[in-house]
Amino acid sequence: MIFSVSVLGSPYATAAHVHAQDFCRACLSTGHSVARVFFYHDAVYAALRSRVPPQDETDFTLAWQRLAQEHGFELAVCIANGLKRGVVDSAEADRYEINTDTLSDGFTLVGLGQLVDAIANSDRHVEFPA
Amino acid sequence: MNKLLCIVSVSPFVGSQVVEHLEAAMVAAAFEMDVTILFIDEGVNNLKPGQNGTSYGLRAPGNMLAALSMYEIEKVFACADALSRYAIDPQDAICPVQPLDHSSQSALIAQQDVVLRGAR
Repeated sequence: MIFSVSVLGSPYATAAHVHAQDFCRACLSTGHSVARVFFYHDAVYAALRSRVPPQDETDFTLAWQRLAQEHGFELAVCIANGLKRGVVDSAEADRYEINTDTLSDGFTLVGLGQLVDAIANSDRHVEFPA
Repeated sequence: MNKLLCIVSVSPFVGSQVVEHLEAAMVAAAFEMDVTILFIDEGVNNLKPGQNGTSYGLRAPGNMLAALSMYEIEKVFACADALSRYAIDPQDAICPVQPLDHSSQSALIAQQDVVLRGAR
């Protein structure tokens, strides 16, 4: 079965990322596939490159990067939600004259259409709310 | 999966959550998904007319609700108990809305391919 996943909660105010990562691992370890993980609302903070997590806390960004790289799925960040929370790639940094890009490697800024596309082309969509 | 239900359960000016949730519903409709919206709990307050987010520095969800028909989102429902609790007359709502009792809400959810629950 093909799953798509959306994550809505902030990495530091909810357990959405821990639960979503555990869910993806469970899917992938039982023969299912994950087509795309879509980050929406405050979940986009997981893609912010300028964060420095304390050593004794989980680095949600690194965990997503490793999971996606290992299993070949896309980490899609809502561009509108990302922009207003300071998550910008180099193209958007240039467009808005911000002196640096802040999007972590392995993540991509995309439009909401990519969420709809993921929903339409998967067998199940699972949401991890705020 | 084509039938999509967005459930809104958060008050209008609790951050940007409702506006961002409705944006997803509108984009889904623009991509020709069959979109339904259900307001429950405090979310029914989004149906009140006369919203003004200026003092909060936020966009008012009511402006988006008034535009739902432009996206061909015609199926808008609200929890009848929540409407009653917050003294909202559906006739005064910012967009046409049909009250549903709890069993009808369950039936509506069961008809969907996917439910976007959004923030709570």
